[in-house]
Amino acid sequence: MRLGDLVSGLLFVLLGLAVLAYARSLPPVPGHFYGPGLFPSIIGWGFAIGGGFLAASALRAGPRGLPRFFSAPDWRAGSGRLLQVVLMFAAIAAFVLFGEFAGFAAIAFIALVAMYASAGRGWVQSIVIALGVTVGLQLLFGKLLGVPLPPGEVWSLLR
Amino acid sequence: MPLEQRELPMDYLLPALGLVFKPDTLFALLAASFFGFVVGVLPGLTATMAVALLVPITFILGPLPAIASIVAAAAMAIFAGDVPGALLRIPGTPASAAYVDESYRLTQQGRAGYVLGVNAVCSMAGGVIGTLVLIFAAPLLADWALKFSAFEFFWLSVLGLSCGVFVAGDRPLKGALALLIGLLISVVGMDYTTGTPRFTFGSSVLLGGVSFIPALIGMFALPEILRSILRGGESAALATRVVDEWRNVFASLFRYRRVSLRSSMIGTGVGVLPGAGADIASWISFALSKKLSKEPAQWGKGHIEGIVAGSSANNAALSGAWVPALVFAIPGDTITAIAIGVLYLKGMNPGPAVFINNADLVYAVFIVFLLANFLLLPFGWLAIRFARGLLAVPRAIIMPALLILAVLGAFAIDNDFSGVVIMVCLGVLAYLLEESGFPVAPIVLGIVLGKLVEQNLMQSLVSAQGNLLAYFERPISAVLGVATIAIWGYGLVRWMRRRPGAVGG
Repeated sequence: MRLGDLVSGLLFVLLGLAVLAYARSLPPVPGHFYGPGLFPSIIGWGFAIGGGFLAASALRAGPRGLPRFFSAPDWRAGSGRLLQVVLMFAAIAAFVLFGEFAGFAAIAFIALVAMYASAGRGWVQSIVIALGVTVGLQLLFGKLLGVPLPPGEVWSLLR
Repeated sequence: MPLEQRELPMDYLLPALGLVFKPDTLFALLAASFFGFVVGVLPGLTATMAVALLVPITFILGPLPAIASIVAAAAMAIFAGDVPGALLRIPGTPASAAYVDESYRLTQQGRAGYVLGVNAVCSMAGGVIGTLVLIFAAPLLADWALKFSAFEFFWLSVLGLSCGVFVAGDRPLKGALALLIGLLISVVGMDYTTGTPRFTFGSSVLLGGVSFIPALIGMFALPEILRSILRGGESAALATRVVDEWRNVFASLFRYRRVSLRSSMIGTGVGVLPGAGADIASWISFALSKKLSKEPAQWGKGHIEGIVAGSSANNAALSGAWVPALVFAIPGDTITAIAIGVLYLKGMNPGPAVFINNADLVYAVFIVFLLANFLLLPFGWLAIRFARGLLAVPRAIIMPALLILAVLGAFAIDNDFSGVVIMVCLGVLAYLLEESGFPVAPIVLGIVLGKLVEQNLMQSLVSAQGNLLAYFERPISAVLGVATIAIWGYGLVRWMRRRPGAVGG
């Protein structure tokens, strides 16, 4: 997805105002004009002014390379590719939501098989490559580097 | 320190040798070189991405092997980026883009082995020259910087931020906004003066700030994986044979030794500037060498001179970027931005005092630099033999594996999936920003420098007692302040002078 300079400029102005409002809510240090809110306020002013300039220059110049408001050339990539993107984010979400429960290896293996198969590999090839990558990463991080990868609570329940 | 007491770099180099020649350090060097080679050879994957993905692995290593692996992976990735440039006309990393046409023309003439040899030898030469500058300049600079107060450090860090926006980017306004995003990310968490939580919105995970490494992995790996899925890009078939031509390689290096030396010096200088790294170094020295060349008619037809210039400069820039990183904790490029984070974690806090507190370690790092660059030669030899096989692996196989690696890396920092959430949020943000024409490198600069700028701003405000002239009372502080204002003036003038059709950041 692409945002035109006018839209992104205005978004930055809004962000700047929000940051400024938040910075004002931070408690000041008694007797000083500077406190924890000073630096965020500077950032907020920067967003507001910079975003304003960006939006203004977009209005003056008209579209150039970028769309005026926004465009999404990614969506033209075809349903197969979009499915792969969905699978990619689904895999990340699965790690966050079910990582402790199902364990790293199970999720990694299923996600890899799904991504390879959706990219047009045969099932056998997908499973073989996914198995290789999963075992390799599990050994590298779990054994060699000593990262406590979640083994998955579900497996101890089954036993 | 009086002049006669000052020790020579050589006095440190010898004991440091003992630290370097240990199995774990040497193994880290080799393994990271191999990893950097693979990432660099794959088109679209940058040296910064190699380092970002490597950082979680460095966590369990000692300080020296950790830094050794970063240095080696970066140096090797920048060299390896030349390989697909020569064989496929696709630069493996942006730093190889400047001379990709010259390389490919030589390949079409059946001389891929010659090009790759020159790439390896010049990368090594550039890297070694950059390292020598680092070894001799950094301690002198640090000695001088020991006298700096909060005023100087405040100006220096603002100067670093300004350079990242105005010198490095061609879109200063968008660069500045990207930088502000980085600064905003850096203020999340407990305020360092009063301990007030800021922008945490009640989350206890954010109290300690946005975890840096997951953020980096997200910003550098995720957009690239996304783009690769959306736009595709299967491996291309290679037409030519690759034959060794080492005799010609060394003859060319001798013939163009001045070009290589000059480009290495330019590359080191560009590397020292915050925000500008290997990419810009190779463009500048390629363009300059073309201008100064004695054989201008040969350029564009597969002339080795430009390849010598670019290959030398981009590896030199890597070493140059470590000068401000070690001396002032101000990163010279995105790779050192990551490296600074690792240095802090390893208790080797960058700053002028590092040359006193950790002198042995610093000089051991220097030796590691030299070794990493010497490794480019055998890897160049291997590249000529095996790169074709590596390039034949479809990207559709590599990208999902890299995604899992990125998730693992983001998890492994705190052994918590909250890092993965940070990774995916910033990854999507970086993708949207890049698509909309915003550069991502200033965000990293902002995250790294944000705390430094704020701390020095608060400290200097306290000691100035409301007298803003205090920022210009100390001589070095005044010079740095004026330089900062000059850069802003230059940026504004350049921005206003643009034709209306060319505005937009």
